[in-house]
Amino acid sequence: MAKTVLIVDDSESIREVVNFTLQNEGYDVLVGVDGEDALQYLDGRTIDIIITDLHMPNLDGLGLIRKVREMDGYKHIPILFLTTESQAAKKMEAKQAGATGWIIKPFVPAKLLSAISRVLR
Amino acid sequence: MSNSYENFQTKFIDEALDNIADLEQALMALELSPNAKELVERVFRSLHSLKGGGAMFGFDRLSEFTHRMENIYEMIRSGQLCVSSELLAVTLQSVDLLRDLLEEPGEVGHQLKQRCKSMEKAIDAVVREETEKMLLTVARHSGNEKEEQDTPNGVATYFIHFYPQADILENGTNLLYLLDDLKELGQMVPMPGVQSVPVLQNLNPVSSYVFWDIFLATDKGINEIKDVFIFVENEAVLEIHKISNSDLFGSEQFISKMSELSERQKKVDLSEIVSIASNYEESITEVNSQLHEANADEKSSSSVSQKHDKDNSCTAGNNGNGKRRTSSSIRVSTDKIDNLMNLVSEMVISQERLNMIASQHHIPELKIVSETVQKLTSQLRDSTFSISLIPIETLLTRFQRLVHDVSNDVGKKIDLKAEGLDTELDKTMIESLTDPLLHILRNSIDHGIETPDKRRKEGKHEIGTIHLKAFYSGANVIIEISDDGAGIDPEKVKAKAIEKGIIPEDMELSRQDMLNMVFRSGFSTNEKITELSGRGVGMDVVMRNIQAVRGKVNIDSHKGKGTTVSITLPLVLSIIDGLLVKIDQTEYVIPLSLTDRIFPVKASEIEKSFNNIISLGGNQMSFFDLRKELKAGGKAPEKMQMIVINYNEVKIALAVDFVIGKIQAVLKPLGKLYHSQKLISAATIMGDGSIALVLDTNAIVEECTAVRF
Repeated sequence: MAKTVLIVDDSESIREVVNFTLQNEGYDVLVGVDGEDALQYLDGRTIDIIITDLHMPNLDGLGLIRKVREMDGYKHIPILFLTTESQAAKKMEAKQAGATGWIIKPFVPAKLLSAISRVLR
Repeated sequence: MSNSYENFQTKFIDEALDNIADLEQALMALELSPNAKELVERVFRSLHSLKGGGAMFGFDRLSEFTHRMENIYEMIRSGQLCVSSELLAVTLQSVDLLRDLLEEPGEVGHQLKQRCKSMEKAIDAVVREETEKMLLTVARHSGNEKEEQDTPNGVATYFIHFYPQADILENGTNLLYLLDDLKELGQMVPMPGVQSVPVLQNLNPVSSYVFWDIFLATDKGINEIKDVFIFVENEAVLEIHKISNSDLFGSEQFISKMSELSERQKKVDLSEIVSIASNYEESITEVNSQLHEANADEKSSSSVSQKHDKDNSCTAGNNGNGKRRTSSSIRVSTDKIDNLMNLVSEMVISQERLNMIASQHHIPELKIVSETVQKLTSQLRDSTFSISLIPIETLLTRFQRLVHDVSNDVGKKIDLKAEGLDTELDKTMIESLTDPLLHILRNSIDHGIETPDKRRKEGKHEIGTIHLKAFYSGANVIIEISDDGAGIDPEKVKAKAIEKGIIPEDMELSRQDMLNMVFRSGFSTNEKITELSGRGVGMDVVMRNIQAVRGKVNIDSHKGKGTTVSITLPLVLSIIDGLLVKIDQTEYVIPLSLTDRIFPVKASEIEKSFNNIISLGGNQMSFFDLRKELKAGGKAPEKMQMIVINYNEVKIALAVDFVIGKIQAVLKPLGKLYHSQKLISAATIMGDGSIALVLDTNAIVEECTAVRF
């Protein structure tokens, strides 16, 4: 069965590139425009991985992670950050919040895919 | 990256332009309230998105540049730097650079590279200066930290119980205005109590049954709140309690309590609210003291804590309008909308045809269907049009920017006030409006508003005001730009026009005619051509641009008092409701929105009339015989009809042979060959395939009354 990926990013073009890349590889893709928006998908359906931006309006990436980690069905879901932020301190903060991994923008499609498949394996 | 990824580049550019516009807007707003955290946040996010996308889609230099700026705003976010007008100025300047960078993906040209470098240098310089200033303030303030903590930001939260007596409405009080007044004071949640409203048959429409429980956070004192109710004190029960010395609208618990209360219509339990209030106050003091502790180590204590306090007050004031509405939307290409419009137009034509057939065959069922379809098409038409309508607000940032930049350049102080920004116009119309409006604004700044010195001498306020106002008027949208500057001297304009050979020397002109001279091509009153408004584009171009979208420009000016330029634009471009009339063998359409009444007249009355004046419904009215004006052949019928239309507030009658009825006219432009004729604005296809001409009544009146030079 195809794996389901939830993409969260406030930039439309980034969303589309990621979406395009993943759909080409046969993933089912859900798209959220910010943390708040993403939460609506977490309604009990099966999601295999979340890929989220860090800085977003309404609810940012860290906030989203913290919320997701409190939800019963999604406590252990892998969450990857896709962001331009590369500071170690930010990474640490994300890790403590419960992030699984970190992909730096700009990304090469192949790298994104390999990062995802590594986590999903 | 593979080829398909490049398609996303265009998408990114679109999005980036939006981002830049948003950035610009946030920066302008930040200038007004430099402590508004959410604005800093918005600036930061825009920069961040630009950086991320830029790197992703091959705009490396853009990404690099925004990265630098992002760092600066990150510092502001974390309180290491303060927003200063110098900083905002350089940021605003770099916004233009960002736009240019977007045009060159990959390696940028030498010139642009240089610009980036010098911009970066300028930014660095400002940042360095600001950091030093910051350290200085810290040093100076480190002594009086305590004092500052003791003075709260002044916002307190009040509970108001307002129970008007049943007869309160009898003295003409409008209770809602009271609530409006109250809202002016700060942020409030009014909770109406409707428990005592009786069932309908017992309800006395002139009695009041409602009471209100209101929570109000304001920095005004209790007396100002009482002032609001001064006229109703005797007719109402009024209780005002201060429940907290802080702005409770900052407390999530309070907000959720409010929504719970208003949803369930429960009675307000004050003690509960008061406990929430004390909780919140404690948490604030806690945060404050934590901040102070942390700051004591970093030696940057007071300025940050001070900032924190200011932020509180700032967000409190801004919550009402500062928060941006987020509504979900999708981006659709204009081609798709145009296509939809065309389909709707075709449908309207077919529907007219159906209407015609239905009226010829007397089949009741057909008639019902045809009427339903007519209703649906007109709704479809209206909602399709509304898709491409955008509020004038979208233009405002550019205007504010212009006023900001230009007034600085010429050393004038100008305040731009805007009103009616939610007025909506067609997107294409907005686009073609931008340049003319910018030009008019430039004129106002450059020629209209005087220098502060001169204004003081003339007893005016040092800061000049430009007022931008948009509103609906009938089937039109009117945009007014008025300034309180020097105004235009009509005599001077006339003299200039004579000098330029636009009019002969001995010509008699009314005041309005003289003012209108500024729209004639080859006219420019300013002696020296300044960089701003005298760039070869005159008011004649403004006039032409506006006329191209079937709009009109008027100018009114009083010397010493100021100038008002008003632009009148038709609301809808391509489908109108029209009145179908017949003159000789030809069918014409007169826009229904302009018609007022129709009177029957005898052809002989028209012939006998003196000076084109006729008495209709007891009023003397000027009229024009369209037979004559349109050079129709044949003989006038014995019974004719007069259509009274509105022409700039004046009623004027037009004589036609016969009024056929109402139609929806899909306007099709006339071909190039017909450009030179003015009286007909478009053609429309009728239900039976024949063609009717749409009359431009304004042009007809103007043509008939024109002063010919």
